[in-house]
Amino acid sequence: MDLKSIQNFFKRRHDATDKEKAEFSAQLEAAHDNIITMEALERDFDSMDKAKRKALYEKLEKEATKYPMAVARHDELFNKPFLSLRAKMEYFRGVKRDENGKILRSKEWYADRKALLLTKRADSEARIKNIDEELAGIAKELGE
Amino acid sequence: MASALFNSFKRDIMNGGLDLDTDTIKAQLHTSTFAQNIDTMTKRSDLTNEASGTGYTAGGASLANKAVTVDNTNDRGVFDSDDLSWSSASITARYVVLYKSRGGASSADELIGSWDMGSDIVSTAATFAVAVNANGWLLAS
Repeated sequence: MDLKSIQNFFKRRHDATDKEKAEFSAQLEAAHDNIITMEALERDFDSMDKAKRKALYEKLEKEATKYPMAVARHDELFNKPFLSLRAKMEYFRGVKRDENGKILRSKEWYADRKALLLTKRADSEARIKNIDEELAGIAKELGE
Repeated sequence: MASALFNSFKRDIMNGGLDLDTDTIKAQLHTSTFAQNIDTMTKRSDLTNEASGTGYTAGGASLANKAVTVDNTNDRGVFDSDDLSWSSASITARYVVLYKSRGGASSADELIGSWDMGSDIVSTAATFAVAVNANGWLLAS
């Protein structure tokens, strides 16, 4: 079952017969069974070596190719299958979001971020020094 | 039209002209008639066919919670952010373009890339939201 089928069903859901609704529900459940559950992922992730993690990620990524690079949504129902898959894939790189798609941060993340910003600040000061030196050299070449 | 990075971005990221997680990065929506040219488009003023409508301001919205991280499982660097949304909006758009905003003229804003959402997305007096892909906005491998 692909995203288009789900969209098509929701577009005409008010006109669907009970039989069609039952068939759609069965297809949705079957599709869900093919996707690794978040619970299983959390349970098994720590015990996986890098090769196994990569293989599992590739499986998820194959599933994700059904979706475009970025998906716009204005319908809660439309978006849910995508978010579920995304949550699983993002688990591999330690990303967690709230229900509105906002990335959740830990104290460790803020500490790492602070260290990075301080480094960037020092780098910027060093760059300005290098730029000033190069500009002085250019001014000399130009006879200014 | 496929999603792609502008060639000028590839240069800018190498020479330090762009810092994805500390610069102001904005997302602008475009209609299905937008025709990306990764060779000739370098600044925001080069773009055409920006979307318009109730709830949308020209120039788009800033990305929040930008993050550049490492993904050791897949040996990648990843650029990511919060999802985007425009509330109470009546918008039709197909493409998202990211750029570095300098807060002034559009001719100064460096382009990053454009993302094809697959088809026209329409919101009518509802939230228009863009969910970032599971692999982030972009990755380097």
